[in-house]
Amino acid sequence: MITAAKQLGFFKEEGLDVDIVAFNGTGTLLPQMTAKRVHVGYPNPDVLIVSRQPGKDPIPLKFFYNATRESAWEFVVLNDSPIKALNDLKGKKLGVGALTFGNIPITKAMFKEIGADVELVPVGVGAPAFLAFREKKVDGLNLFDSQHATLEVQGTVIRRLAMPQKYKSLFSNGFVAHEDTIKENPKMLAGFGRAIAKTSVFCEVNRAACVKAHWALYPDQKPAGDEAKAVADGIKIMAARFDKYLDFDDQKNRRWGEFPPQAWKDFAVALHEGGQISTKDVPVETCYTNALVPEFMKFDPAPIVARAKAAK
Amino acid sequence: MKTSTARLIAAALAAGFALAPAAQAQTKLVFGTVTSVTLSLG
Repeated sequence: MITAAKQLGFFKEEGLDVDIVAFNGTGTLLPQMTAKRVHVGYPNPDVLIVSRQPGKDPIPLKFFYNATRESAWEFVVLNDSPIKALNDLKGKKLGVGALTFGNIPITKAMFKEIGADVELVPVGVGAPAFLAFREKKVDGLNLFDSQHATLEVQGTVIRRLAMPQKYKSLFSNGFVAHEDTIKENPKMLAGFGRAIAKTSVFCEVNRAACVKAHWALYPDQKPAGDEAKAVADGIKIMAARFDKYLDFDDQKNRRWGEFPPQAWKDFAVALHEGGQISTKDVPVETCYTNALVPEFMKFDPAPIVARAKAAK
Repeated sequence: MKTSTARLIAAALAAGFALAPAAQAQTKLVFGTVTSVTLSLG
């Protein structure tokens, strides 16, 4: 949504000129955010909840937009692997993006709960991770949805291992800002969130146009060869994440960016039961705000739908 | 505004041309991802 929002002009429409900067995991992004060098981030919630335990220094950030409304994290193995379930990973090597990735606490919690001692091996994302996986240097991968979709598009046949439902239904990356920014510049964040909501409306109608918008911004990422196949593959990769942006309980009354309060409580319980935090009673209400949601909703979707339908 | 200029603007509007809006100041915002930028951010 970010690259499409930029390329399609939805940020500009909100008076924003957005620079996109890549970091290696939530653990490296958050210090830059607390130092206010980055205004908006897209991390996992785990680290913020961990910092709200009694006796810890709370990280002064808050989530203000619920983007990935279900878990983006998956466990996959090669199709011919003897591993059939998460428990079969006991004593095995599991490739993770990096030990600074935001999903690590919840991954550890999951294995602690099922009593499996699994070695987490940092393999990065993209080509190095895929190589380690295909050459069986790791027995499985625990990356995010669109990485595994990319593997499939590249022709590797994989199997996704079933996750306990309580972990599967946890939300993932959302938009976060410094508490001071939320107090001092809510207009900027409201515009950011509204641009994302508008882009979501556009991309739901015309996914191909969104894929092409991404390539227009990052032309080196456009695969060579058959354009129709490249677009179809691109849509599959995008859908792996984008469908989670649209996972509303009430599809007729989508509340863009809104967090269900219970989801945060469930997250804390999962981290506690997995031994990653000392108590489940962390003040999760300090981790997020829904205050800007009414601002995100202030747009008319009809002209965006019309524009998306007309886009090539 | 001179009468001739006003007439020109009126004529342009009548012909369906919109006046160009004044340049809007853009707020610079730095956005941080947690991985390299890929289609999943698309």
